[in-house]
Amino acid sequence: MTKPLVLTAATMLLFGAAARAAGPSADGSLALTGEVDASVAMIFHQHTLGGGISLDTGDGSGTATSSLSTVSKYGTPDGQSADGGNWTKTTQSDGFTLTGVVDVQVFKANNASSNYTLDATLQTADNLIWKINTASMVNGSETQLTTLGIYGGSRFATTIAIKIPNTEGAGSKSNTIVFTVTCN
Amino acid sequence: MKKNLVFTAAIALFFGGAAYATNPSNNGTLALTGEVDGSIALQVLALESGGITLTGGGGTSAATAAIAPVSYYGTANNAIVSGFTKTSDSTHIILTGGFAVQVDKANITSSNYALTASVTSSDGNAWNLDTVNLTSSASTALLSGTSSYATPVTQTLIVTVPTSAAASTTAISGTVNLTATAN
Repeated sequence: MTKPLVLTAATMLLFGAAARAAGPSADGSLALTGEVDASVAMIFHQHTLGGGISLDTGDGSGTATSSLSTVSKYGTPDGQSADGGNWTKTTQSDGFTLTGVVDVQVFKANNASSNYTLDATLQTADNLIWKINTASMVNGSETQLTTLGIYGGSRFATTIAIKIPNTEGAGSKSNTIVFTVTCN
Repeated sequence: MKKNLVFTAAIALFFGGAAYATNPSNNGTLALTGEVDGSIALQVLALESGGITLTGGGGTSAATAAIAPVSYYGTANNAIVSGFTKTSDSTHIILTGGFAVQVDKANITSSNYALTASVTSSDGNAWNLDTVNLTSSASTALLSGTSSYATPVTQTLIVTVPTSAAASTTAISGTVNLTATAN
């Protein structure tokens, strides 16, 4: 009879240990890692001060369009034309020039850069004379507009001037200026 | 004396004969007692459709996930990155993803459980599970504290990264710790 009693006691101890190991709660985890890259964004705005041109589409985005409507050297009076997207026409002996201002705004995120460089490139060669902030634009080459662009709320005004020589044939004209912002 | 000796011997034989006449037997008992406690187990699961891509440990209590590179301007809002949906406000990248927690029970009459969570992280981001902002301490009970057993319960994890944070391969780094407690 002694032997069974000893066995019983040993069994109870074993069950007791198992009970203490379990419990009415359970744990789990989800470990998460991820990479955040620096980024910048550039958007166009209609210049709200004098000389601003109308943006037909894309105001507040990175892809904007502006239309000159129809203009002629002798048929269109000099000055800002509300019908012509608010471009300002001036006349020269060898042609006429359309001038307008558009704002560029650059934002940064997760980026320690303190300022940016802004360049502009005329996308397609044509016979018109393009200038931006008084600098001539050569097709395919970047024209540097600033190396000290200020991020955030500050808008960078760019003045675009397009001269149409007298020798240019009549017809629809179009081109694109590609702006490139680079963090310094 | 001689007579007595013979008698004694006869008695001895008799007792011996009685002993061999019965089969030998003995009795023993094994009395067994033990305690079984209720227990529950938690596992982290990927959602059946969509949700966070678990890179390891799905179906266990220790899962892992990694978010592919993401940026405020370079990653479109509503883009899906490693199962997270990227959105943003004016000063944050917001990554929202779902996963599931399943808790199974045994030997317990509990009809539901409460889930709490904490986060182990020093990445400077805000970590939210469902609507609860996680800290290093256990949160209040999620989802009203009455989640059902034996079924995957969707949890929504939101990691909010400030745009002022430095870009880094480890800009998001943390562990969400989950604890289920039987009600």
